[in-house]
Amino acid sequence: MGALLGSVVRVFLELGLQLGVILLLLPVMVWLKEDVPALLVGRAVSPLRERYARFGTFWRLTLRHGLPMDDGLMLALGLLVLLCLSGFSLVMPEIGSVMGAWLADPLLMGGILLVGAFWVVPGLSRGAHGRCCLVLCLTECFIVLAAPGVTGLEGVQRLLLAAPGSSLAGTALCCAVALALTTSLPDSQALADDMVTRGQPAGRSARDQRQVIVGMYHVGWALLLGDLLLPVLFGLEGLGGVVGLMVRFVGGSLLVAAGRLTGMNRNGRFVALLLGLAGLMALAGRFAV
Amino acid sequence: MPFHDPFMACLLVVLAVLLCGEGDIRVFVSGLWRSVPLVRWRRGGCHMAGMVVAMLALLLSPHAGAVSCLVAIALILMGGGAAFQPVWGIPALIGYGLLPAGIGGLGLMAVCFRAAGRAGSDGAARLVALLLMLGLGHGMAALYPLWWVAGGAVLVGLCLMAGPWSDRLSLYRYCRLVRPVFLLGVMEVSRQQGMVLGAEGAFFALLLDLACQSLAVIWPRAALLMLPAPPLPGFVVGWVGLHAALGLSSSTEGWTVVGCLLGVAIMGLSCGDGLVVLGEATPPLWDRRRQPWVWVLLLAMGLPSACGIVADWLAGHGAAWAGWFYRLSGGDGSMMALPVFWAALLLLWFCFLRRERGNAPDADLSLEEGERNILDAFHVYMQAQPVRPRSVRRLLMRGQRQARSLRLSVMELLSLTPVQEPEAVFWLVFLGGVLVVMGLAQ
Repeated sequence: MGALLGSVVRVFLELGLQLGVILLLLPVMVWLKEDVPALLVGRAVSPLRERYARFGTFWRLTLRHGLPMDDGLMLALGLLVLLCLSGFSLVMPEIGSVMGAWLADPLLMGGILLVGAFWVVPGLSRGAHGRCCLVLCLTECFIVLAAPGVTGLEGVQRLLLAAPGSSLAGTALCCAVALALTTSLPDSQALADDMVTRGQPAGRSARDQRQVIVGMYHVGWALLLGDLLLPVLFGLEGLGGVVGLMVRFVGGSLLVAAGRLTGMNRNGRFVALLLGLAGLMALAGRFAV
Repeated sequence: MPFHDPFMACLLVVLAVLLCGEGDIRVFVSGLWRSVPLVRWRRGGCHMAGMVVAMLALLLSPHAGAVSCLVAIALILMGGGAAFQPVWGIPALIGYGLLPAGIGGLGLMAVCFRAAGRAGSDGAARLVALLLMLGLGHGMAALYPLWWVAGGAVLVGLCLMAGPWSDRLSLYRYCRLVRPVFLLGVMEVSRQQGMVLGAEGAFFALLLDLACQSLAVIWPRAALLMLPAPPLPGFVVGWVGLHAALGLSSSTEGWTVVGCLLGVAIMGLSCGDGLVVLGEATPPLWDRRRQPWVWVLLLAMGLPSACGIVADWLAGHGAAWAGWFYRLSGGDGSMMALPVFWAALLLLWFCFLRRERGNAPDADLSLEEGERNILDAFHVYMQAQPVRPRSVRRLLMRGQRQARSLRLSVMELLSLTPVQEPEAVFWLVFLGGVLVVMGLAQ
């Protein structure tokens, strides 16, 4: 009985620590994702502690007054996605590996992020969502083809550690680039315009809250791309895991930024080429064994 | 073959549930002691009789001749005979009666697709046609699974080409029909290749799909369960189907590419199904009472686990039922801890909800004005005439011209012979052909 109680306490301690680390890192991530590119272009941006202040206000208001029904659902989904995709563990590695193996599925997580995109701007073109969904399905297919019998990103990492240099890494990389080019999450400007034209949600604080939630979805998307880009850094333990999380996030947001800067994200043929390359690599790796 | 007959039992249970809960049948039963609109009462009676006949057909499945007769009666009762308006409906059914386990299954499939496509917005008729097709075509699917899948794809393509295409909705409705056919094909192929896990996964997906569809017929609000948004059962169907097909492609020779294509097709059909659900979204979907939404949430949470336990029990591995309460297994050894995800989601959600109780009706899961406008626009989009690609249109025109010239030449030929009614000649020749085939078979 005591052992059971101890393990339950450790599970909750682990989950709480992970959530705390993610909440601490979130303002940094949003700052890296939104403010640093603007800073590099040469615009003036607010410092990092402004981000921390904004998030502090957001959490204080949320915990004190609560959110409307759909905003609350979307915030819970976004937090869960971040928790599953973070892929590090501090005190109890089993929990991290279970979440990484059973929940960190690219299709599941990407699907939740797409649902978030559809919820934020319902009128956004269905074609973009459809393309993104197709690319997600193909990503899942190719990863399963290249690594039969593994579950989730944790399985991909294990397999890559066991057999480095396999075709799996190339497949995942091509899929990550293709996903980065078909991103259908609305950026903050489009979101603000849409909210103003629809006049919903009504209050200004509600709009701010929604912007923060959508920022979380953007972070989740970049994290998904980073997980596919550098699967070996997924599922590390201790402080190395936190560093791996930041490295993966930076890699993913670099991909998104590169896609936006080069204007490739309307180029369907390039995406098709990347997907074909990923499929070829997966098939080659499968028939090579 | 461990679960051939339990599969039939599952279909019978789904039909029985449908018989107990469908709206028109409830109207029919209550019309026995109070006054209801006569049209609905008559339709409810027809539905009830059709479902009973369909259950009889499933029960009598070894006797192919009686079954084809019963299928005809059931389809006529459910759909008013629209399924047999083209002349090939009855010959196809007789073909099923002659060769039930062979190529005749394709004839039955064609008839059922036709009936389901003609059913329009009548969900019960579509579901009964689908159940008849799955239950009676199972013999053919077990013998020739590849032909089953390929025949399903080709027949749906033909139905789409030949159909009137009045609106997009009727086009997308075929998604709901084709996905179970593909899942059954994947299940049979997996069993032939000796992959127990893949067969179980596909069976689980099929069962969940049928359960969701029958629930959507009984209770229109439950149609939301079929949205392919991730934590909902519609996504589970697509995900498990995808993984069952991928398991097929990754562990058998010769199915690599076909399995991959099947997986993507199953997931794509799920997405199309989501479009149908959004397009059919009726005003009762967005009323503001809280209680029905709680039931929908409970169903969405519990339905996959319940279906998984039933599927495992029917497959003979009932001992591991406790595992379904925290994870769902895909068809290739991969797991998804969706029930745990639901639990964490509900916990976080109730942490973030608005506290004050005063304005509870305002804080409900209902659609705002802007979103309702968008749904209305989507509704109009789905009602509109679909745009055919030019190549398809050209192909169709060429086919129609060929058919017209063929008919003209046949009429000229018939005008040389001393007959006045070509239909009578067709039926006489057909009857003679059937008698010859039966004589040759004995």
